[in-house]
Order: sequence, then C-alpha cells, then structure tokens
Amino acid sequence: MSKGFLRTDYTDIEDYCQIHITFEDGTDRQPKSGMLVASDTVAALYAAYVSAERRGAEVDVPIGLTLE
Amino acid sequence: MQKPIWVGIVGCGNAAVFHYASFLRVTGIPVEVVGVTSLQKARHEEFAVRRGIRTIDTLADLLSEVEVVDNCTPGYAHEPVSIAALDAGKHVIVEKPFTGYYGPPGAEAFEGNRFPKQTMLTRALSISGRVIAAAPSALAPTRSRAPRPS
Repeated sequence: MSKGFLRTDYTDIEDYCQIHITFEDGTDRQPKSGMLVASDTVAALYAAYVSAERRGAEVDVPIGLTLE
Repeated sequence: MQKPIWVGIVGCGNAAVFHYASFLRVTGIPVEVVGVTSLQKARHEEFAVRRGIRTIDTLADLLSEVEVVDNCTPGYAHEPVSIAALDAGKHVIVEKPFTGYYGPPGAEAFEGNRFPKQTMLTRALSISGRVIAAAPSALAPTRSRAPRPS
C-alpha cells in the first residue's frame, strides 16, 4: 500500500481553504484538524509513550484545551 | 474574480511535497503557492525549480509576501516557525505532529527512548500551549476537561 494513501493532507488543506475564504465573513467554524485537535493528538501520542514506559499501565490522557 | 490565497511553504522535505500537491488539488478556491524557504538551501532550490515556484531566502522575507504559512519544517522547528508566523499576523498550517519534545536546544545527542516519558509529555504540551497562545487573543486556550500531568 502506498504510504501516500494514508495521508489526509488534501482533505485537511481543502477544509482549511474553505474556512479561509469565509473567515472575513465572520464564520466561527474551526478547521476539522484545528489546533485543539492537534494538541489533543500530541497528548494522546505522548500518553501512549508514558503507558509503554510503565509496561502498558493505564494513564490519563490530558486532553481538553478549549478556546475562550 | 476572487483573489487567491497566498501561501508560503517553510521546509522542503516529504511534508512539503505532499502539501504542495494538496494545494494543487484544491478546486473552486484559488490558491497560489508563492514560494518556499528552508535552511536546506540546495534542497529548497531543487524543490522550487521542479515546481516552478520561487525560492525565498528567509522566513522573514516569506512572511512579508504571504497570508498563510505552511509549516513543513521538522518537528523541533514547529514552535519557533509557527510563533513567528502568528506574531506576524499570518494564518498557519502545521504538519503533523503539531508539536513534540525533541530535547533541549542544541542537544544533538538527545535520545527520546532514554528520556522520561512523563517529562516529555509535559514539555510537549507546554509547547502546544505556547503555539496556541500565540494565536489571536480571541482564541486563547484554556484546559477545561482534564488537568495537565504533574
């Protein structure tokens, strides 16, 4: 399987572009792959490392940033 | 006619290749990749020539010409490049993963597999927070559902 098939760059970038052109119209929609999802993904990745270091122990995944 | 979204790419590795191809596929919305900049001068020259776009010498020069910065740098550079772009009032796209912990500055011998993972988690999330906090003040982040790890 091509590695490229697994990437979602195109859908993410097109979603961003659609938001960009409506930004000046006052839309409040965030990109589907916005910064909060991105931050939560980092939290999940590194929490998995923590769990692995503890031989698979359950660990908290500190997600939940919100925007004021 | 709608004006194009002017994009500048920072970095010229695989992520830049995929992102550039993705911008070309966007339909119904005019998008123009203005140019590319990178610390890898020889590689970014080749990247630009193959795609018929401009090489731009520095990030500062690129920031003066674009609306959107596509941050395709290695993970350790996501924070400084993104914050510089946000401080300049630009929109930013960041290659995944958004951030991470890659050791102290200049620590070329850093080995993540030998470093305490809880510390890496805490520091990676601190970096995420700093990048998000650099976004416009109306989007200031708060953590509401779960506390950060101690």
